[in-house]
Amino acid sequence: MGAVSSILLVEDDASVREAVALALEGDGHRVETAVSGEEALGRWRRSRPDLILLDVMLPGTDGLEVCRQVRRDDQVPIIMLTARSDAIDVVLGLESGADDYVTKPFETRVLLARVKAVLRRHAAPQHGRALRAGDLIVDPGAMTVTKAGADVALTPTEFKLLYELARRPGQVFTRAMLLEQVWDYTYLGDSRLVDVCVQRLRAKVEDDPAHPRMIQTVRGAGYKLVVQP
Amino acid sequence: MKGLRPRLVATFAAVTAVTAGALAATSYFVVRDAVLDRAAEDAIDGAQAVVAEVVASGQLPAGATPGDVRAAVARVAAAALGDADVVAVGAGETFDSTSVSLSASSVPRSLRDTVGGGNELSWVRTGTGRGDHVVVGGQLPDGPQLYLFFPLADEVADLEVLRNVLALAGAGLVAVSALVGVGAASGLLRPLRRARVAAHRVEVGLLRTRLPEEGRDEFTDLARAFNRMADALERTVGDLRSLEASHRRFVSDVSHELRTPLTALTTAADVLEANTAGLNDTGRRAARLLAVESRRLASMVEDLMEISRFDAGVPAMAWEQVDLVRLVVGALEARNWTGRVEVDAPPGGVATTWADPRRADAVVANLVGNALRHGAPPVRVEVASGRRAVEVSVVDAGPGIPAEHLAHLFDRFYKADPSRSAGGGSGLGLAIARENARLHGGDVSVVSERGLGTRFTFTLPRRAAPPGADETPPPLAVADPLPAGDRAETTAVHDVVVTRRRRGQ
Repeated sequence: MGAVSSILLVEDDASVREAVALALEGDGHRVETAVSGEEALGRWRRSRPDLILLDVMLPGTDGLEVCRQVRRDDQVPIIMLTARSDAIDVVLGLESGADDYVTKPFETRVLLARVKAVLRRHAAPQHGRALRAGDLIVDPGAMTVTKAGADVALTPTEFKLLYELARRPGQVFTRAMLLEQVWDYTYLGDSRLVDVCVQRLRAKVEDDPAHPRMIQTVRGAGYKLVVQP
Repeated sequence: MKGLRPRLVATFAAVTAVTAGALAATSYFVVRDAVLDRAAEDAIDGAQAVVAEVVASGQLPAGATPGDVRAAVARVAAAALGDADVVAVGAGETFDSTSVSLSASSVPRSLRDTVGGGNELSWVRTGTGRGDHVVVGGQLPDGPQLYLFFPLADEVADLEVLRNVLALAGAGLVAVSALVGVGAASGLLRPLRRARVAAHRVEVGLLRTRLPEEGRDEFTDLARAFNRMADALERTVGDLRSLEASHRRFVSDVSHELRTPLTALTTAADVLEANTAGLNDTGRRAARLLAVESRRLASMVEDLMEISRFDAGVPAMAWEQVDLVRLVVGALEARNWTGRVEVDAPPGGVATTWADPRRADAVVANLVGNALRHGAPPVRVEVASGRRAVEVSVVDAGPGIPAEHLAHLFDRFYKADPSRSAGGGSGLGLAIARENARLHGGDVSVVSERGLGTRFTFTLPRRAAPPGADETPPPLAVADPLPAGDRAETTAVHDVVVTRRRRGQ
């Protein structure tokens, strides 16, 4: 990673905002804060941070809406701060484009580990040659994907997921394997992270996302990438 | 006699039998008297005609013998005589008779006395049954006494028929009334049966059950009283439920409200703990305490939210195929407990079933955490795999839990040893563990022996596939989580533990 990362922290509660900012700064990050959705969007446009930590419950424009608007033209990693792990919040947050989530009240070391993992995905260029899968070309060096010659914009998480699947076409990856290889969860990651990210990936790379032919679900097991002849 | 229905039927039949019997007997005796009286009158008329014709014919000589009399009667008055027999009795008990079975002694003494005293014809009825006769007697002028035996066979036969008909009709009436009794009983008992069914429905929780209040008899009163009772019950239960719901909402709301300041508190405490370089020893110790306690507070709030989620309804399950051995090892590694806990795998080294791995992990972590906190080493986790269930047992060699606490161990906020609360958790851990186990169709149970240690067992049904969305997993028996056939596989494991504990004494 090397360089100091800039993080935009969006949180309406002043004490949480200050404490989390202290923790992030203590870990060597540069932190910018926003209190509302509108302020968050403004700061994001001006300073283009490396990562956004986004509270779901915000006055005015809520976190989900901020996430959707950012995703329209930026693949910056986003970690959601949610109220409860089993709420619909999580799925909605992931569907609107978040890469990961942390449940309040969180342990500081957990938050810092999540931040570190997502920044690593974002920053470290993968070594290795470009892979071809059907009409897709996945280039780990440049972190770019083209489909039939046209660029496909993927978040670092989506890219990493596609890259891992494409490295071994036909192999079945369990959710636990993907959670470890893509998200750095060594134990009991939330399999919804994988499922929602696969959905988002399909929407971007499949010809017909409703009937995926490339990224296939293996019932009771996980996912595999199939290259159509 | 038991039951309202047979009692009603018996009463109906008895009343009918008495009434019909009295009626039949009365009519029988009235008719019988009338029939016999008319037979007697006919006999007297016949006898008068016979005597008149015999006297008028002049064929009876002076000093006639009984034989003369019989002959004269037969000659002169055959038509008037009909099928009656003749007995003529002369002086000195001499007699003559038209039947070998009749003699002077066949005439009743009382009739002989009456006839001997006057000229009038007298009669008497003799015998019972088929041998009945009307005997008419009179004194002939200057001659013997003449007795005529008019048979009553026809009348007796008719009366017998009448008696049979009456008896049959009576029996028929009793049968019909018994049937009517059955019908009336069911009619009467129908509201009672309805009331019984309604009471049962209320008993099983269908509090909206009501009885129809039709008609204006005693049963309507009963139905009205029942309905008033059901109204009151429904109201009370409804009040209690809404009270409980608002109480639960309150707990949930409070936990939610605590979450935000807690996040700030734990994060700030963690930052402080990581930056104690500028503090003196006192400050460092305070910072450490602050961090530990804020984390504990956070986990208590977490537990409270978890339990209020259970109370709000059945939480969603994320079913996955899980190897419990790997899950246990992972749970220990994730919490840095590996060095402090031994793991016994079942033969084959895996125990696979379908489970929600996060919930299963939470149960294992709770049981192991309790054993490490409250028990004494060695703490062991034994994974056993049977045909129908898989078990994770957490065994410690601590002082054991007194029997009076065992039953309450899974109650919310129950703490076996109040003095231990300082180092303990929220008091909700085991309650949550049991709820989580039951969501799988399993359970958590405990056995403990003073001085030997405690064994908590987390049992899960063994599944080859995730349960269907609408299927509620069948609960396993708590007392004997592994079926008998599966026991053998785990016995060895248990033996090892027992010996080990004894050695440690």
